[in-house]
Amino acid sequence: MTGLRLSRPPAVVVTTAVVALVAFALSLAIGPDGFGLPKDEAAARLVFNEIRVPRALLGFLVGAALGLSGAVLQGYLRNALAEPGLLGISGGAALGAVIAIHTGIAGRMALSLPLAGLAGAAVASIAIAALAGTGSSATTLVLAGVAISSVAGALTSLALNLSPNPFASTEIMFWLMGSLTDRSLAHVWLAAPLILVGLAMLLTTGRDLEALSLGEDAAQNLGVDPAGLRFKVIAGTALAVGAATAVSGAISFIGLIIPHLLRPWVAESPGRLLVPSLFGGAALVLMSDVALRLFSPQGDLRLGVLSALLGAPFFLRLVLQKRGDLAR
Amino acid sequence: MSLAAEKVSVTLAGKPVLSDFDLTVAPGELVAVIGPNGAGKSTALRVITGLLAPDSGRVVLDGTSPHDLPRRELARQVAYIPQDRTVHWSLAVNRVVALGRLPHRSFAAAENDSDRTAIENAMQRMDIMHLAQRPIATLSGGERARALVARALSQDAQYLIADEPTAGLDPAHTLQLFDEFTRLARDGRAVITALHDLSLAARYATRIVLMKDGRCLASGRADEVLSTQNLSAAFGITAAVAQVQGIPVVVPLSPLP
Repeated sequence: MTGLRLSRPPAVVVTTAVVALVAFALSLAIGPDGFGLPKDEAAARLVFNEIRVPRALLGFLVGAALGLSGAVLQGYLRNALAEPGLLGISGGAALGAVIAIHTGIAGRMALSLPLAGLAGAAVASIAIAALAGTGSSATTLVLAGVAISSVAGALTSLALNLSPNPFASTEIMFWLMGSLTDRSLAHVWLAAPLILVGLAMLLTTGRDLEALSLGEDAAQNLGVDPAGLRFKVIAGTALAVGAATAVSGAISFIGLIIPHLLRPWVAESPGRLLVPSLFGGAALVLMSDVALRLFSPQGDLRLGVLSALLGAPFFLRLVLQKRGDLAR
Repeated sequence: MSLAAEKVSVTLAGKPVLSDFDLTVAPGELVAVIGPNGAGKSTALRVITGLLAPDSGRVVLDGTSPHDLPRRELARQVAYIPQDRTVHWSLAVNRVVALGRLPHRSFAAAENDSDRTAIENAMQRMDIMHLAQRPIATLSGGERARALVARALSQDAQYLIADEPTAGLDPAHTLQLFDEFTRLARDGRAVITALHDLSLAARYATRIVLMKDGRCLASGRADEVLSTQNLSAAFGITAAVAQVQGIPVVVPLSPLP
């Protein structure tokens, strides 16, 4: 039966994985001074081990977390406009980090910034689980996420508003824009285990997301456990995105764009979208970061700004397209 | 062997939707559930499928409670076609039909030959082979309905619960669908379907359950249930029941004053 092609070769998985690995290699190879490493061997080793490797690893992990959780949330909520920030977990992480900067702890203790971010993400995750954990509909989850995001956003603005001096407010602003500069291997060790566990949980949702294409009742009739799925979505996003935001700041739009860009490649299948979105997110963050180093060697342009600039027109097109669909 | 809802009551948002309602289906049966809008047909089907836990009463599947079965095992026993035909992503038709095989595949296992046979079989029976590669968003309402029935057929379950599967189907595909349901029943499967087409119920159902206000008004063979008294009591209409070439037809005449 030639007309009945039931399994596609995972060409999109191979492609995105290769692109992500190339971007990873470029991230290791390219610095603010262009391609290559310093001439001096000791300096070269130092730059490579202490700067390039952590930065490339974090870029990969953060991008993977954003891309995959975006794909999972869009599948779970059955809405192409969903993104990782929707649950309020990145908002919570940002608030935690901002409080650390505001109170000055960040300047006194190493790693206190990402740790505070993790604490913020944990609080937001517990709040969303408590608000939406038992409800069965996706709408409850979105509403709870919106509520938590607004509280976190308001408190972040308050911290900015009441910041003790202009330097603190500048630092808060810069941190909120997202960056991978000046991160050490300690940041990697802190975030990597959490992100990896989160990614693993999110990757197990593929089948359930496929079934959910037919709606909640039909999915349940196909063997999906709604409570178990909800737990995996919330906990996986909390771990992956919470840890990613805690070390890199708020990098917007990656989780929205990547699943949307890759969806046509997997014939809209929400389950097959997962692995490509993981690699696609990693590739996009790594390449944006490499572009930053090349075009803004002084580090004055922020990763989150570039990703938002990249994402905004795309988002606009998505909205226009949706409007067209509705008008038809 | 049977699937039964026994004395189930359900209250939704403070309104009693089912009251002491009984519904049973055994292998070989094609049961039609009829009744006016809001009679509780869909709720009854959701309860017997195990999607909605009743406030009182119980559901019994082959002597056990469906809630005691592992979810995938239950999914291999009972297939459900919801009234809502939304497909949230524009998947290819054969991918939609393939979703019915999920309960048969262990985690991360690829589709095997028996999955492929079941999928192809289901598509042939619903006459959608020519649509296999089409994105489901590009299908007409009736074609989409057939694709979703094929999804449930590929699930290959003992019990098939279909909520108004004929809405939007053309006459030929309506007859084809009920011939398929009849064939399933003859093969020892069991079908429950909610319907608004009374002639179709009269013609194909081995048993008809007439509902009104969450209760069973009448249950039995077509000639027992579809009396003019029952039809006026349930639907508030006068109706004529006749035979055309040996096939029963029910013609609603006028609403009662």
